[in-house]
Amino acid sequence: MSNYLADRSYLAVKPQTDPAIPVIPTKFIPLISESIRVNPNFTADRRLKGLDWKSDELLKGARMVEGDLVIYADPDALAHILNLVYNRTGTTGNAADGYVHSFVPGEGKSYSLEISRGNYAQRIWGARGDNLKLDFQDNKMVATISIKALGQFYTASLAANLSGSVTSLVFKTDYDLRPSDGLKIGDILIVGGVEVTLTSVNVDGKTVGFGATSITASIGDPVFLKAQTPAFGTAREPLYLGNSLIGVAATSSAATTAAGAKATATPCYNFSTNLKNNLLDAPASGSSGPAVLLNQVKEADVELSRFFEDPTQYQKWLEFVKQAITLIATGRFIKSDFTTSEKLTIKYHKTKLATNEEPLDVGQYIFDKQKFEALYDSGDAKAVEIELIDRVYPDELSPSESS
Amino acid sequence: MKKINTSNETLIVPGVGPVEPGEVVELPASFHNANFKEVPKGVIPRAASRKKKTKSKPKTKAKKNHE
Repeated sequence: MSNYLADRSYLAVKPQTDPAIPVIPTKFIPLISESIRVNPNFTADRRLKGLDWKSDELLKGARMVEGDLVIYADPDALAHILNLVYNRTGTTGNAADGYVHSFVPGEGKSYSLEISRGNYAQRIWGARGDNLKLDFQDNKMVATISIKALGQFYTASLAANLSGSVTSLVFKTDYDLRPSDGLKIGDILIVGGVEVTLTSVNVDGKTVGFGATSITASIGDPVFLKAQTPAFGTAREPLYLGNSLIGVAATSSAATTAAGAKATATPCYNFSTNLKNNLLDAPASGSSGPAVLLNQVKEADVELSRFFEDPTQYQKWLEFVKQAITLIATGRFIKSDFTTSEKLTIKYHKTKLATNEEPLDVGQYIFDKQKFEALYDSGDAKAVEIELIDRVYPDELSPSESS
Repeated sequence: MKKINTSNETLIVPGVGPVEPGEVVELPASFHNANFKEVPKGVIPRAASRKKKTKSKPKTKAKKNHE
């Protein structure tokens, strides 16, 4: 029996052209942890059947494919994370200077994700970012993205015996009427201990084809998706709190100016933000899981801690005074002459304090522990905007059917 | 099996090392990665194509002394 070290697993991602058309992920991103799971919402069949036991069967409920991915927010990986959550309005720059990607609240891209466990991979497709949390843990920026997806393929079972040279197989439909959704030409399946490379994925959603292969397997035998051999690009450092500046001012432009220099920035001992899409994920007729994943009302918040100097922040909280916040996190130099750097800029055009606490703890300095609600600024016609400078080619973030 | 890196970035392949975009390398049959596509026979993989260059003596014309 084989045993597998989790450290050898991988996360791979790729944007899709269409939310319902998966692709084979090609971008490998270092992963801290993941919790993406299929939840069939099984419940006991509670119909009256003459039993004095709770039930003799389970029934399927509304199926969900959801969970969290946790990564260190290095600028290259962060580009894909932001692409999942927000709308990329454009990219400028070039490979030498770095690429400048602009994101605004809106429909993010649907992605195909792949997570491996040992020799086996789970393909999650039609994935969107529902909530993105950015915070700093031990100086390092950590991105925790809550994912919802339309479907997944990990394992399925044979609907018919296989014997001798065969060129196709059919999956059972116990899990879904379309169990092969998620598979693509070029994927390798493991069936009966034999590997086959897919040459076709039938529109019937349960038949796949491959080159003539001698296979011996029985009805109900499991079929697995083979994991890829991970090939990572150059590892990048995460963005650090120590290299981040936070400006707080009456207007967004003033906050951005304040965040431009250490002398004018506000030293913060803690900073975290949540960017939420509140995705609609209800099933509809024709779909056992979410029919579509659409943004509903968007929201965001910021939490930070800074030294208490006087009750000014308390006054701003009581009188719900507008404050704008800008975070600028700078990374490594990109251009060889040191004139451009990796950089994440998040602008909250209008925030107001939802909570402001000044706790007294024995032996501790007094802090303003604050939670801001990010609001829509009618004057700027914006709530949040994000700019990311990194080395990610724009076509990596653009959906492509080629895999 | 010869495969080419079809991505636009240098990828670190286990047991092989960095493979640049467009570079052809010899990989085991078990290697499975969507960034790498099989290339037709006759294409020279990286190891064989990087032949050691031998230094040749520069050609110079003998100067004629005109007296």
